[in-house]
Amino acid sequence: MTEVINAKFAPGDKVRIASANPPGHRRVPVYARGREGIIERICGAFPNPEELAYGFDGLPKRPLYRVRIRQIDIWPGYRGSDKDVLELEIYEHWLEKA
Amino acid sequence: MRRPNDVGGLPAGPIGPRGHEPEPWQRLLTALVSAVGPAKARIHCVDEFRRAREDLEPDFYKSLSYFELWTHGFIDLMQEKGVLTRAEVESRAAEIRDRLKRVP
Amino acid sequence: MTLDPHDRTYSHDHDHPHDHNHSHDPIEVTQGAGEYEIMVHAIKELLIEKGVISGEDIRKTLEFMDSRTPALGAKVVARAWTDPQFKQRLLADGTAAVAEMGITMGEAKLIVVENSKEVHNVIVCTLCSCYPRTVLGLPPDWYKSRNYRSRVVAEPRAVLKEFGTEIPDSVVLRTHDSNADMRYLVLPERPAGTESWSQEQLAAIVTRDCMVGVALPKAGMQ
Repeated sequence: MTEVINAKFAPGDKVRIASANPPGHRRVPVYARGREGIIERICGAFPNPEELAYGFDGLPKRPLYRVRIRQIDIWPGYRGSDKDVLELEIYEHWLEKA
Repeated sequence: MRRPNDVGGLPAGPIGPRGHEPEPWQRLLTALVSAVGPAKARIHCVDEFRRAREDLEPDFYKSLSYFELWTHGFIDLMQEKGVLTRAEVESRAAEIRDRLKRVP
Repeated sequence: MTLDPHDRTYSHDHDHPHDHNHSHDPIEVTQGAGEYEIMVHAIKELLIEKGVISGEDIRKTLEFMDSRTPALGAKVVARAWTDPQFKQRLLADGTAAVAEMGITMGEAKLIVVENSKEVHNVIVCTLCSCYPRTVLGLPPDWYKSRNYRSRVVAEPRAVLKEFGTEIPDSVVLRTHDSNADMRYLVLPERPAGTESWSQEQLAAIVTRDCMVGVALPKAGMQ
């Protein structure tokens, strides 16, 4: 990754995904909203898909992160190891420090 | 607010048959969407196409299989972009049906 | 858990058996075409007549799609199994590593996740059907199905069991929801007993399902 990104979060940071409920095209599944996890890596910066979906150019690019969440923190009665995780990609504007 | 595509964690049934690969018309549809979009003509981007599918009326959406969703989403998006209309598609489809009937 | 009557991703609208010939030219409408096939051909004809794309554009796109098959991913895995430094580069930057092999990712970036004795990885796109098409070709129906997308995030072990893959609780399960610009390839664990195998022999046991994470490669498969 050669581009310089002004990223607010670093790998290992504890974050919370917003509980926001905006209309329209979003790429944060409902199961992930309001959840706490940690930053697994910075993926880079990309145009915002929420704006691309409506014909905007989605710029400026936004930092995208992989967030790792424990499965037991998402699903009541989760069957598996307590260490099982779910990892997904979240844009910076959906994240706050936890 | 859960859009109809946002299904992670909802109750669902067994995983379906393993072996079915896309049919020729489904591959053609995939190629059309790609060529009109990012691969060639760039009339739309991937995100617009996803949004167009998600915007289908929810009960209609849930009644459609994967490529049926793609078909309707693509028609809606192309109409939105002023490329063609649903009425034109339906009219041409009727013509094709007639053509096929006339083949000996 | 009831079978979802709306999960028709594996239905199609003509009723001859599954082993019929899928190799007929997709550009030609078939005699027994159903409603949706006809609609797609109507769209195709209109797009060409309106000068949006040409027949040649469509053929080129289809050829490109045909060139993408799981064999590409299998080659990447086989090389990673036999070349430890390539494997490190692959895990650090999947996009750059596959580019070494002449495979160019599109706008998305490739992340390769490694299975081991401690960790098993499985991939899904709950929101649509994002899939590493550049290295695996088109996704199978089950991957795009509502049932897989709904359940593999919430009960991955039960879903894997349906595929005949049992992951003990002592192994950590990482489920990856590719909901944005990343695409994922699972690097399966190399099976025991393959130490003397060539890359071709190794690639032959790396199935698409192994690289999505629902199956494990088996040395006995050859």
